[in-house]
Amino acid sequence: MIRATWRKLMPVGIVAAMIASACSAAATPQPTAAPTAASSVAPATSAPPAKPTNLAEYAAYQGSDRTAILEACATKEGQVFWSSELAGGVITAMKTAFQKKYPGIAVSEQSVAGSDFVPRMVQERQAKKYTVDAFEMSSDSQLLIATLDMRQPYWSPALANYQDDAKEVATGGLVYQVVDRYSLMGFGYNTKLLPASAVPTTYADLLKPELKGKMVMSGSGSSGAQLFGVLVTTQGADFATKLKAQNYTIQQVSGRGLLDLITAGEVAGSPTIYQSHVKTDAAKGAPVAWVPLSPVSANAGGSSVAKDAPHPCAAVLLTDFILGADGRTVLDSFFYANPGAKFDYKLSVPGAGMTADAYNTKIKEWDALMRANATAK
Amino acid sequence: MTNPGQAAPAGRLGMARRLPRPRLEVALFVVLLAALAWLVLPPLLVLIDTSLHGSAGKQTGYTLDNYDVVLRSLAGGPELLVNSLVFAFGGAIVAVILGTTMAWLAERTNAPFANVAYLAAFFSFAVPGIIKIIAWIFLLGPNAGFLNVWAMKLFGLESAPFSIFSMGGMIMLDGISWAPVVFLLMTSPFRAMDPALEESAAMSGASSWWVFSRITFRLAAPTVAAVLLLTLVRSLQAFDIAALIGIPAGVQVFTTTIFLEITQGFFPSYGNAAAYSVVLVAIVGLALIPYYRLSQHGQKYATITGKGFRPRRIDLGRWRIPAGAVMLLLPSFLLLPVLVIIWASLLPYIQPPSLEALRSITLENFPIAFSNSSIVRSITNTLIVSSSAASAVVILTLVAAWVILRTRFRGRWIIDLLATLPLVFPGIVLGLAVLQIYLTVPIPIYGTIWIIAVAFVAKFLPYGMRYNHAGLLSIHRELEESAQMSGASFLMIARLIIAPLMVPAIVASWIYVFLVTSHELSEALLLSSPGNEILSITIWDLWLNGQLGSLMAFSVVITFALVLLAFVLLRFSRSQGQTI
Repeated sequence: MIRATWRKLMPVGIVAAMIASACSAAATPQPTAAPTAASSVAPATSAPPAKPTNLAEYAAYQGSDRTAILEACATKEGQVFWSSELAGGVITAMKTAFQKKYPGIAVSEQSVAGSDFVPRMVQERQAKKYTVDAFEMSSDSQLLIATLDMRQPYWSPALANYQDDAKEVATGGLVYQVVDRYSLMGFGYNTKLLPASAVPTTYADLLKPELKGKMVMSGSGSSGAQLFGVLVTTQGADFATKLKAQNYTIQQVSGRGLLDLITAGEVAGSPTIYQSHVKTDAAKGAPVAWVPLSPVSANAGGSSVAKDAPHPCAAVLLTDFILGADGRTVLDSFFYANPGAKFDYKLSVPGAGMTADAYNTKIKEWDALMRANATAK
Repeated sequence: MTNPGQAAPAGRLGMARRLPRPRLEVALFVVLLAALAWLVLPPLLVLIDTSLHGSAGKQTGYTLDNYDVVLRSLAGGPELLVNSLVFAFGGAIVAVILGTTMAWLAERTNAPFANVAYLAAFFSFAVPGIIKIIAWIFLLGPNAGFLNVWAMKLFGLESAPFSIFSMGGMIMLDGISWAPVVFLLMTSPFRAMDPALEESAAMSGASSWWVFSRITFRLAAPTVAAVLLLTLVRSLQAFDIAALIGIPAGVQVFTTTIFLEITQGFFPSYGNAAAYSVVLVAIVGLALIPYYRLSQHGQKYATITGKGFRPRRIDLGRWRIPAGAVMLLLPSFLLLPVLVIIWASLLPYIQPPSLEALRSITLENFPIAFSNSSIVRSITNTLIVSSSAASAVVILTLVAAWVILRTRFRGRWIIDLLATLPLVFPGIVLGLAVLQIYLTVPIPIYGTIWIIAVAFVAKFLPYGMRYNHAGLLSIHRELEESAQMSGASFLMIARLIIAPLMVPAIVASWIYVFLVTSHELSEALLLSSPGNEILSITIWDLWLNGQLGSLMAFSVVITFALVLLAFVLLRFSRSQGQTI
């Protein structure tokens, strides 16, 4: 009897639930391709309901009074919870801009790595506890999120501003996500510590003798693992072993956090640094610079509305805001690349062309590869 | 575990046996037993259960696959086990040597700055450990650490004399972070030590060193050993230093392995993490066995007697100035990181102190920090979580101490065991277990601040017991018996006799739990979710996400607020005749 009771009390394995979730997702399939492979959004096939009353209806509503309806309803809700993989001051800036436009709606923001966000969302959905209203996650996180039925399809008046390949299409003219920025990962360095001759311009240059003992990888989130994925793919499986001879180390911080150590002079350089962060700090006078290493790992940040968002109107309104001109202004002020821009180098979007399971397996492999070849002191 | 050997007898008249056991007493025992069992047992059982399931969860049935992963990892190379033990022993030894030396200097010699050391030790509780670690990175980083750069310039060195990102750096940081605790734990025994033996030796012509090494140290040895074991256990459980310093240094220990198993990739490997956790719990449990044995036989080394005495202070003579320098170590270890965070909070980006940097000083980080809702929310959350956890710990352990010392229930040893068991749980392990429990049981606290409060209550039960058991032990039960004989009810006795006399112990335990939980990281790390962040989580997130300006501004405000609060609480506790 006691044993039976305990069995009931024992938690259901998270992974089992993930599989169950994946199975249920399979019953109501969602596209899992990266947004760059998405086809164009079809025009709406039916008129939206006259008066939306729930999340699905608010998200799909296309009437000219959409913003007015959402604003009135969101003001009653009074708050919205937004999670994002964006790091640094941009999150607070986005919140401040939104609250300035909609003073009755308080934004609670959270900067979180996708590898923390995804399992947490799975756990919350299992427990039927919903906290997140809207989120902005990178392409690889979105790949996994797509299999877990966490997103509410939506329409936005700003959709027309985005190219088709920036949209992950749902049915009925709706989308699951729209890529609103690229975070371009390359080599960030301290200009006082590295001479121009030591700065790499290709991945092969990471083996330059001048860089020995001077590089650090970001160990938080998946930036470091993504880099090793690109290295394995473009330079061959043994490149990581060669890189070991460079005596690189790992800091358990994000690329943004690692840049602080580069600015401080504690770290000379790292190939896991994002262009937007470097530009932001350089604008303040910090002695940092960034160079692309082609193909550049491009985290495509996509905005989504959370399924079962506890504040549906505010969730949709915030997503409209981020995708609209106001959100673009904030992202531009922090130097995030516009997905519609032309680049002088090739881009590699993490997870593109892979299934969620395969990507999860690979990202763990690449992370392990990075840690196994790091220097111990 | 509280020492059964120290338990007070049932009264000279054996009154407890003759008086009928009040129903309230029985009810208290049952409720307490249920509460403690719920707090302590499920985490252990869930942990073991999770470790016995494969990657596909319960659908695969029981398996030892996760332990196979752990064994293969240990067999692949001894680094994990060796690193964990070297770090723990190293940190504990540094803390004990430093803390004990300073306690001896403060209590038994005429070394200057003793009061400054006391204040620094107490205030070190108020400054969050993670802030100090980050500050030390900027002080002793191998390439740009302020102290390293100055040392290189001063002595013409080509490379930094000391790198924080090394096993040595981890041990040093762990040692100096625990030295204040050791210092406070060791002052009491030195203060209360009967000086008769030392004085006899001195009168017989023994030198000060001979007296210290042959008498003072030997008398203090059991206490030193117990404190060393306790510090060792804490070091085995340490997470923040292991994560922020150990990972960059390439030094992986058990706690960081558990953390990485959960955070690497997108789907956590809970089974592997749980198996590593069980192994760590077993290692900690092994380390606690000699600690309990020492505690139980402590009376053999008793040097406090009913005889009145005033311990003689040794005149250090020409060694007084070096001793004063040693006494200033604790204040320096506290002050240096605080100065770094103040400096960094005033800069647009981190720079070493220079005239050029002075010109760029700004206050812009402060408004930016406090426009971040996570930061503001974490302050309110922390106040609620820490005060609730401290109150719950005090109430539970006060009742537990009363049941253990004042009742004759045959099962009261179970209460003692349950209240002490959480010592074996490293914070990150307890966090993992509590997370899994409240995801599935129909108690709606997942994602709220209360799940963190529950974890804190479970974790800090042993510390509450230490204060309240000792406090109640010092109150002779004849006061309660007299009241009972005069017809006082149980509630009257509790309200009018026990509670007033226990106020100092209650205040001390509340303050301790409040201050420590206000910046505890490892338990809360896996339990935090949007909306329930506490201070330590916000600091961790700001560091990880590279919001250094906001982090430093926030840290300055939090540090000063906590130090001010600690000062108020210290004054209050002293007014109650209690030291913390």
